[in-house]
Amino acid sequence: MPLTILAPLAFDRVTYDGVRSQVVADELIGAARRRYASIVREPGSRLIGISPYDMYTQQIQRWAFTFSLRDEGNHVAVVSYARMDPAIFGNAPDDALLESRLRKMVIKNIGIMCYGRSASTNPHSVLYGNIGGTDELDVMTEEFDP
Amino acid sequence: MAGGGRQPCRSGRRVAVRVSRCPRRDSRLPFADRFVYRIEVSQRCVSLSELSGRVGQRRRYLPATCALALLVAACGRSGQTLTELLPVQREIARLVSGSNVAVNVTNVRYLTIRIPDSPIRQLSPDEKAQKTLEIARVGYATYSLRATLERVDVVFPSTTGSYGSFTSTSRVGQGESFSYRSSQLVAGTGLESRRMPPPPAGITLYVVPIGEIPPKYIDDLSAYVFAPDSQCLSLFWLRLRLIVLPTMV
Repeated sequence: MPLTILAPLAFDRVTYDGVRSQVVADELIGAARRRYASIVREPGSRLIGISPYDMYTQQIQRWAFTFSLRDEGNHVAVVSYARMDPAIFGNAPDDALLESRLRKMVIKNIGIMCYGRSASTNPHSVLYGNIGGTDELDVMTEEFDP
Repeated sequence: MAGGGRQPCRSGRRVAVRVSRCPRRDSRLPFADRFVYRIEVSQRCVSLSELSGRVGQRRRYLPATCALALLVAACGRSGQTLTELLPVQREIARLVSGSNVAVNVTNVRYLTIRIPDSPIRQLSPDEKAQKTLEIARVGYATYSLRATLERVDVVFPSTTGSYGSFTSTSRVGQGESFSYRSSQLVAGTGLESRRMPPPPAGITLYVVPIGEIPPKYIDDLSAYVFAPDSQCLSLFWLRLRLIVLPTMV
């Protein structure tokens, strides 16, 4: 599967919700779609944005945050690793742990967007659909069907 | 004899206070919404007079019982931690085929599993390390508040004797204490053993960093997820292109 790493998308304050002090994931998807409109229009293209900013989705506002959000067509997704950092619990920084969590979230999006898989009810599958926090991420493997 | 409703007064009415705390595991919810406290006062389970030995003084104890219930609710975190530790203890005991397993958490961050006088101590260093890692992984995966953990320790102390129901632990020898960081215990899959089906043809994946991201994260991600060594992509030619586009201002 061809992979292209695009140039970084700069932070756009339009996507920021000052009241919640979080980035709006839906707006982030919109910004990526606008910025890379020609790429998104390509047949078979899938775009995943990776962000360090804490974000939430307007679709379920009672959620304090969201790790990831995909658009309706499963063509564009954004993943935030802000809440995957062990440091937010006051623990020592652990890049290996953070990267492991980020990797699983990206693989899940690849599974859904590129492989056409649906969310799983198996908590050990990387496609697990009910991720409530890092507790669930840490139990997930990187396999679609473990 | 008094009327039917008041008849039990002399013998003491049965009053029980039950505090249930129903955690909602979804940490995306606001903290206040994650727990539901329910205090039920029942008149069936336990007789206050039986507890106190005094007949007809139940009213004196009801406020105290309610206060105790509120105290328990206020100290919910300790109770919750205990609730979360019990499955860990059971699971480890099952894994090592022994009931003498102690589990505790310090400062919410350090999970310690103690298995006194375990036959695991007699294993070779390699076997012991392997078994200990397995124990730590099971402990980590079973502990439902694992997101807060920084480290899991597995200790095999030797004990000197028992005094009634108390056991005194004398020492932990060299090579009988193991420590693992959380990143060593999370579920994962080795790069060489990961199995992913071949992707459908005609799909091109673009990854875009948003904001300032350490390049290492993107490099590691693309190297790990799309490594040519993985079975998924060993079937396909990995094409990595770097397109430099002007950034959005």
